[in-house]
Amino acid sequence: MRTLCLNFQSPQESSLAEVFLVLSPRVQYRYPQWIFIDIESTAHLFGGEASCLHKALEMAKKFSSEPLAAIAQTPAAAELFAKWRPGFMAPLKESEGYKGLSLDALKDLQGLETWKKPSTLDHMIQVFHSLGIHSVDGILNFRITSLRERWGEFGVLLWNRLHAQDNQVISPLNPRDPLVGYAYFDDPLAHIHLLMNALESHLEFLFARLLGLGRFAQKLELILHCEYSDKSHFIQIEPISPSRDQKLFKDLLEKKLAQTNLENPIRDIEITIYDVPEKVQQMDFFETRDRDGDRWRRLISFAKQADCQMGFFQMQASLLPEKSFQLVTDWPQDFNPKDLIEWNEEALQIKYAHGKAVASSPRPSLLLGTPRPLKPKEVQNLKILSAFPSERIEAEWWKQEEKTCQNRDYYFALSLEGQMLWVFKDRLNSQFYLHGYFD
Amino acid sequence: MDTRKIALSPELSSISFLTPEQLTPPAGLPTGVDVLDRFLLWKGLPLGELSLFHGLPGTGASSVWLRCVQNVHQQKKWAAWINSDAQLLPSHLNQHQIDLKKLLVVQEPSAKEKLFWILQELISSSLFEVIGCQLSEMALKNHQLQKLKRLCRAFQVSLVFITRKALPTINPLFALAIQFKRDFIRVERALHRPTPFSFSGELIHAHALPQFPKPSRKLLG
Repeated sequence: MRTLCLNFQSPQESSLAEVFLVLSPRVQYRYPQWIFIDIESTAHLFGGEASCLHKALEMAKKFSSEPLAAIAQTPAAAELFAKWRPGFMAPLKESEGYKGLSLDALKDLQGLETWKKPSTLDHMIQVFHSLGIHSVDGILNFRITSLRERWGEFGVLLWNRLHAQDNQVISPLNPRDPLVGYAYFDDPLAHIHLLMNALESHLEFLFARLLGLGRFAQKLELILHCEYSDKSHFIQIEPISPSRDQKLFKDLLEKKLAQTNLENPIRDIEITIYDVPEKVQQMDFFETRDRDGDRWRRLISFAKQADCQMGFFQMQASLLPEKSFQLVTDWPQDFNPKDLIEWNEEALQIKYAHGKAVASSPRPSLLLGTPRPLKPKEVQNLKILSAFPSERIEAEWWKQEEKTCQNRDYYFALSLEGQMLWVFKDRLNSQFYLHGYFD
Repeated sequence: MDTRKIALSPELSSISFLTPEQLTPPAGLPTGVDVLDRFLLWKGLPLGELSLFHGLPGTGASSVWLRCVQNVHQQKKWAAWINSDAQLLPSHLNQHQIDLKKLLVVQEPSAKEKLFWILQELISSSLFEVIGCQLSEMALKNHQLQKLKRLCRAFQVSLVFITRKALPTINPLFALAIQFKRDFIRVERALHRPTPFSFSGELIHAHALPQFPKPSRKLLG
């Protein structure tokens, strides 16, 4: 898959990806500044990869002062070249492009998915330096088994990315961001030319998106919020027929603004464009365009690319509260552990379900990731609400260690400020810990 | 002055005025706390607006949000939550009939700038009815809040910020601001309602500790 990667060198909005739909339907944005375009099947329409790269850079220059771009066989390699060898168009055997590149370039060999463990990568680079390897092409001689033995799955992933074996697919972009623009001025504007100047960049962006989406603007709404008082001006522009004529909309806007009293300077602006398709489409009544499941998958993939943990709670059969759940991206299974009773002729066997008590044990709404040890003065100020613990958690006798803190007597407590707390006393060293809040 | 004694002029007498019962209040999500729902114009948390709950952890802020989520889940709709250093505990949620399959949880982002981006993505996905965002301090700037408010209006989402630090002044961008204190809960800002309005915190505490025996719960009051 031939991939064109654009590096804007400054954070951009995800909706910027829509602008590049003119080059290919397969476009993807990765936080904060990367756009990947699959040009495998569309490059010939623009006269080859070189002119495609040139066109993409030309478009990108409207939104960033110094955009960089490169083409490679995989998104990961394209990102690396877009940063370290801008303008480079890697041949089919892209390993030749790695010659002479510093090992730090490996940090940018990410593509659609970021490195999960950057610290492991740092360690890898250190090890390669200590072996006398100082450029990326030196690593190509290693076999996959060597990297697996030393760094496990992470080593395999690196090998795959270096040898274009990491299968990252750019899906067709499903546009969903509304066509809106917003600007806040630290120094409020009271002059029409300054205001038009500020509006121009937003109009440019919105109309470039319209072009990418293949849609026309039917109506433009502009709200100008004034600095002093809650006053705002509302301007609406609706030409006779929908179009993508940016100049027409700009001229109409300028004329309307000339009639507006700007004595009360403008603090922030909101622009909304109402779009219509270029041609009338016959939609299927019975098929919704965008289902919940699709939107959910898109959200998860965006979060994954931005290295942000997101998912549903999956409860687990563990008595330790901090280990009784994890975040999963699939639909969670119902947690309802029951004892298993097996009849075998006249024999009866009961298998106890581990963690059965978790479902009904009193638990706070908020839990601290790691219990916080309380100072003696803090403990003195607590009002423990029961003489006996509400719950006791005890590790097996052969696992009892002070460090693991697994012998706990839990209590409900009230702080001086009226906070309802969940605290426990470590039975081995009598230290009190704060573990949660009944918030 | 007693308004009932004012005689309408002949021009006005022909106009049919609306009675308060005929007005439709703006949409809201009921919290299940009757006193609060009756007081607020939206009969719950406002849809398409920003709300702010502030107070020390353990004073009931997330319980009010969770009660609202209970109602949202009953309507088969989704909710999202952004964790801070303290995170929601699923066994508590399970006990309060919250559907874990309809609650998306986001871990606290490593960089502050990502929070704004995540909130935008969550709101514009139009999957969620209510979004709770727990913050150790209000890290969002004014113009970012304005943009979020606009998105909330466009997608009809109720975004609730829960902060542990008491704020000296309430940003007018929040349609609803509630302070949680030791013994009472105070509505500091609610559009078109006389504020401040306080009510007992017992209503929330009793819900947070269902396993705790009633007589002992008096200590909390």
